[in-house]
Amino acid sequence: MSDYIPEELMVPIFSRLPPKSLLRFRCISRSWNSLISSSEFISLHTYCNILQKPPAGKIIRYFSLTQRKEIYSIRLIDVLAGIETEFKIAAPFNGIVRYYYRIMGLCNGVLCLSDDLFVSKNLLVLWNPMIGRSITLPMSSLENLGNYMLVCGFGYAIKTRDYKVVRMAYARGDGGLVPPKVEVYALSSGIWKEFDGFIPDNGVIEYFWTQAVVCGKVHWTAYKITGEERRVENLITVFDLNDEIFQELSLPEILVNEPPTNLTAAECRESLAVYQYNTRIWSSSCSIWVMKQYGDTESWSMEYNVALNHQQLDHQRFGMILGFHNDTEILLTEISGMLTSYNPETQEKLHLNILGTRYSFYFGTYKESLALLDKGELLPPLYLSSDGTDDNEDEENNADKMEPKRKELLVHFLKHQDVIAVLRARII
Amino acid sequence: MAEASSSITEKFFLTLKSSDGDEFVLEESIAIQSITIKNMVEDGCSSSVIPLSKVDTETLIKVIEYMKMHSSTSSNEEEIENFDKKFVSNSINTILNILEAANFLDINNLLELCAEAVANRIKNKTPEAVRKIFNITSDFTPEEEAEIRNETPWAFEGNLDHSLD
Repeated sequence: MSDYIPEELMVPIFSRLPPKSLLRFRCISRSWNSLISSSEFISLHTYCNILQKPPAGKIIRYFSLTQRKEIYSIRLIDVLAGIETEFKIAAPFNGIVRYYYRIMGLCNGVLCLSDDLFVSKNLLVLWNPMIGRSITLPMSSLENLGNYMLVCGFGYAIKTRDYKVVRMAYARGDGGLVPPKVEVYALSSGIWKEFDGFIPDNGVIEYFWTQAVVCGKVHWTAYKITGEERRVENLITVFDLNDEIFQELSLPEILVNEPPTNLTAAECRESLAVYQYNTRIWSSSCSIWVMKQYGDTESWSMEYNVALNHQQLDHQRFGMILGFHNDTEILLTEISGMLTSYNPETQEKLHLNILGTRYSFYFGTYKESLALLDKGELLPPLYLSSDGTDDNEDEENNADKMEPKRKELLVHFLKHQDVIAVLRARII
Repeated sequence: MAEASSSITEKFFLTLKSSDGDEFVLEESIAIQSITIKNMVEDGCSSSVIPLSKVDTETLIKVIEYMKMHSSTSSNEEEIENFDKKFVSNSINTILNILEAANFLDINNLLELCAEAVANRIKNKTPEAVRKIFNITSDFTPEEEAEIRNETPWAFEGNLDHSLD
């Protein structure tokens, strides 16, 4: 009938295509490229992609001891071909961070990275590793506040079809716990906006915080200081990315009076979870609590208890739980830095032949997306060859390769002392 | 023929005329799945032949088949599902024509069905195959095209489909 399909009819077709196809079809013509790369289309596509729930891939990030660099290993699932493809990608802005970034959050193919783990220049970056584009967030007014510690959250607000970063700045030093100053960044506007709504006066353990995004809300484990005796009571601080309001959720009773440093917010099969270690460093067990019905605090249930010191040999002890990588197996690290898959039912474990520093591991589900194709800065290619990169435990003895490991442990130890001191100062 | 009416018991008929000049008589209750036709009926245009200058005979036959199957009275869910499956196995060019007609006639379900079908058919194809299907000549210089390919080389890898249907 006609040789030319109008653009308005390409939109319903394109919005049903996976990112891989669209990235390929950019080279078809200028008009296809500009349609696919337009902010309006990317926003629509991200939204449709979320509703269609395509099978998600996986991402593992670690600082490789053998290669002495930060590696992002992404596995994508190609449904048509029935195969998984692995990509190894180096960190962006080579050399800017010492060792590795903090992965603040991961959402629809976009990672939010911060440089605050080692020496911080307050760098915050949104990065889409599969399309090699990034945005460095502008400096915020919080940076001039002086002695503050930051806790951040990152996620996608489906109502406005926008990525958002929230950051809370906590005053350091003595003088009790005061509500943090809060700012919100929206990718669409590109600026930080001071948050002027209600801010609960909950503390979040700085430096060691993790976020969990469930139902469009960011969650951190937090604590309140209550009563005459100034007791610490743990709870969950929630920031709703859609409505931009703070909320709170209570924890199961047994977790309320734990030392706050032992609790970590996590996601477990799309539910909100909390990992309860028995100490922050060198823990011997970890209980995984899951809120089975989101919002119903009666539905907290301890799903697993993992013995981390199951082995007599010290270097085979488990260190940190990274998450569930399928229905039955947990990914975790051994103290040696070996990535391991563990089945808590059968207690079988499997070494995955990836060796990194202990605290550098991050695991999450990864959904390809076109995000940042419109406004991100194009980075030089960061793909690493997949050949001969298997990490080998034998090389561990090389003294040079031990340096990041020692440095990491030292930083964690010092930060831990620091956080405990801050906590004490707030209670007294 | 009478004016549009809310009566359910009485059957009204419309005549649709394709761009090739062929006329098709269709029950009004079936034809008004097209919002474009529904609006024309409500505006009182139904007494004469409705000209569909943008829809050729071959495409109109398919669209009418679809509307008959999807009219609420005559078909059950399983029949509709099987019909849709068979419907999208038409050649990709036929589906693209139907997609355009569905857009012009404003039949949202049909538009979505066709868009989904086209997406499924092209998602694993090479850019060259897609250009031929959509009859597009590249307006990129070879250097510009290479630059786009180099941005995301992984999108061009794997077992891609070269076929034109």
